[in-house]
Amino acid sequence: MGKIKILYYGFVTELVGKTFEELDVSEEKTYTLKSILNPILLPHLGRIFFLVNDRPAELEHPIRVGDEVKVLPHIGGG
Amino acid sequence: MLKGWNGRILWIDLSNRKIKIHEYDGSFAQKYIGGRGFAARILWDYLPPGLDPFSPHNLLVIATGPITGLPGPSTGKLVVAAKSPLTHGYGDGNIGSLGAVYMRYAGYDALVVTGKSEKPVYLHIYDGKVEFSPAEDLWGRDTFTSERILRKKHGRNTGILLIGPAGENKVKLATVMSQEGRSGGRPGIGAVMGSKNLKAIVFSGDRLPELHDPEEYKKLAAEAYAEIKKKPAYSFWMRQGTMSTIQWSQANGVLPTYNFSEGVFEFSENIDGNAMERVKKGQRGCPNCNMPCGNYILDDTGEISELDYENVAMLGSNIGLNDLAKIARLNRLADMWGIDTIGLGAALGFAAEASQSKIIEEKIDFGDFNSMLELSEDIVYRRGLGDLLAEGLEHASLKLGGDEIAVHVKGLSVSAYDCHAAPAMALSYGVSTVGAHHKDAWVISWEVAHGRFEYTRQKAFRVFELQRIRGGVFEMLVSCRLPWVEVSLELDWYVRLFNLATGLSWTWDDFLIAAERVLTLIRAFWVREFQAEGKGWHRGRDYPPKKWFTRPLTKGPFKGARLDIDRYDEMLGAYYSYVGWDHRGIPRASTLERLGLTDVRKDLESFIQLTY
Repeated sequence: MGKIKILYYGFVTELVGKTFEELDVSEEKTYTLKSILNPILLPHLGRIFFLVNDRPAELEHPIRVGDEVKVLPHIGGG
Repeated sequence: MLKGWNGRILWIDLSNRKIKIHEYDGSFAQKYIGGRGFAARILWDYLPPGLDPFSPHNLLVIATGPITGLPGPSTGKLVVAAKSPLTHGYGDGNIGSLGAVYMRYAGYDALVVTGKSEKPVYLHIYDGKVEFSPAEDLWGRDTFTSERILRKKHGRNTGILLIGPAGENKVKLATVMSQEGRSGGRPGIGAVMGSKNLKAIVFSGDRLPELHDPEEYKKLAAEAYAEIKKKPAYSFWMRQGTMSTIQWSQANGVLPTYNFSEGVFEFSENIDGNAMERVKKGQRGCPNCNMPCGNYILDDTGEISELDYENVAMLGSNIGLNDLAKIARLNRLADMWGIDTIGLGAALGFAAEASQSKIIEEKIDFGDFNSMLELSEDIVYRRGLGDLLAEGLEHASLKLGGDEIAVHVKGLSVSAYDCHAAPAMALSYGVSTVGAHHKDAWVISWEVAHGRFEYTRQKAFRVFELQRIRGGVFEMLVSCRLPWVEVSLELDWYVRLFNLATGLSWTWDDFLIAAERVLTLIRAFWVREFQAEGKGWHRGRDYPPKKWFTRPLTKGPFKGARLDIDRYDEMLGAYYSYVGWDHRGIPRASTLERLGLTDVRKDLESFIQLTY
């Protein structure tokens, strides 16, 4: 077993009710971003985006033990 | 007969105290819409080319749009514009102010102020009248005190625009202020007002512009307000406003830190939206807004200070300050002095790095509040090093020899996004209409989501696309873009409101064409002014600050990153091809023709040879 860290930002923290979480995952299994995401986020895909280890990622992006996922809102910059 | 627009522009000559009313027709209104569009066209037509921006003949243009002041999401804004004393090019900014509402209610869509008063003066514009009143008793006073005095005298139902000591002292970072925290005109528009001895403008009136379908307009506006409140991002926005961007920028390594040397700040948690929420006292905003962004806290002296992302990033991480209450004090004082908080943060950051690098003898340390406060006062009151910095970063750095650490484009300091690892955002700053400003093409969120290190044609197109919407449509309407960008209110709402106000049947494409016309007109203005002043125009003027090419990040997720000059230049070329400008960044003759600017082509050809 190992861990995947997920960090949430902006209004996403209200959707999921937390600012981060750590998931326990098996080193032998294959995961995708979609498979580890809280499904409550899926209706908001146009308003949010994902980074895996600070690189842009789509829902089918493979996720491995030790990865850090950021779920961020698209914001407008004043 | 126009609907939506008042169809009247008020001209005031301060030198001889004469006024005239210019009535315009539907073709002008539809070509330039309002706000920035009106300002750019007026400056092109009436400003003598090559003029010293502090000449009495400079034009201070204050302009609204066809839905300004009407009920509707965040429509209480106006544009202030002039030839910039900071950049010597086109300068403008927008302000949320009751001034926008009451200028429209006074019967005007725009005001043009020319000439210079012999003594300090303020204007009261109401019921078709203009009063010139002495302002000696206000001169020297801060903007908060002055506005309170004027409001007491003229009543609550007024809109007031004014300057503080920075504008009076012609500090080239001076803005125009309103309502104790609303500020606009970063390229020194407040200094232009000061150069005319004009302390304030008070608007009042009660005449709503005639609308095509007032009942349906009102209904749709109410629906738009309700729609905003239903958006998933609304609740969090009401908690933190733009302040949540501190955490976002830190997470993405773009938070300006230590004079844009880094993109992450080790103390960011002390100054972010969560820190603000813990001490938040309330929030306030512009007229007609149901998602006010001005969160206020008490500063370290117990006074109210209204914070947003740009202020806190530039007066916080960029100068190494990690105490939100102290940042709040600097921010409040800047608003009282009437100086641009972004420009001030950039000047202080530059001074600290110049001190560290022994470019200057003065000891100014990052994070040292007292020296930052003292230097801020010196800038506003033009003392010592402050006097030099009051001339702007470009001037000061060339004089001192610190060009490589001066973070500006065309003389206007960069607002709060570090671009060592963000080439599209760097391009956005490079080709912004007023110098380095985020308001035109804020592309960084899209860029972070799509890939930081590529230099693509797609990125160049995205900058052009966002410029037309943010810097074009919203600046012409004049309406705040935040309902769209922050809570995702669909753009179609604005088209429908516009059509109900004016009786026109525009599509979104009609707006984009008008936006492209105005962005190209503004570029023509820059070229004309630089040619007329003998500075010349070249492609290098659209380059971002040297620092992002030469001094890599030393920490954070993108340690070692810096921009690549050749690839940037290639992307700049792609941008030029989208906007129809030549390799020098000058609008092609065919582009000017296509956009209905034949007269501009003819005029511009007398200053420089155009490419066909």
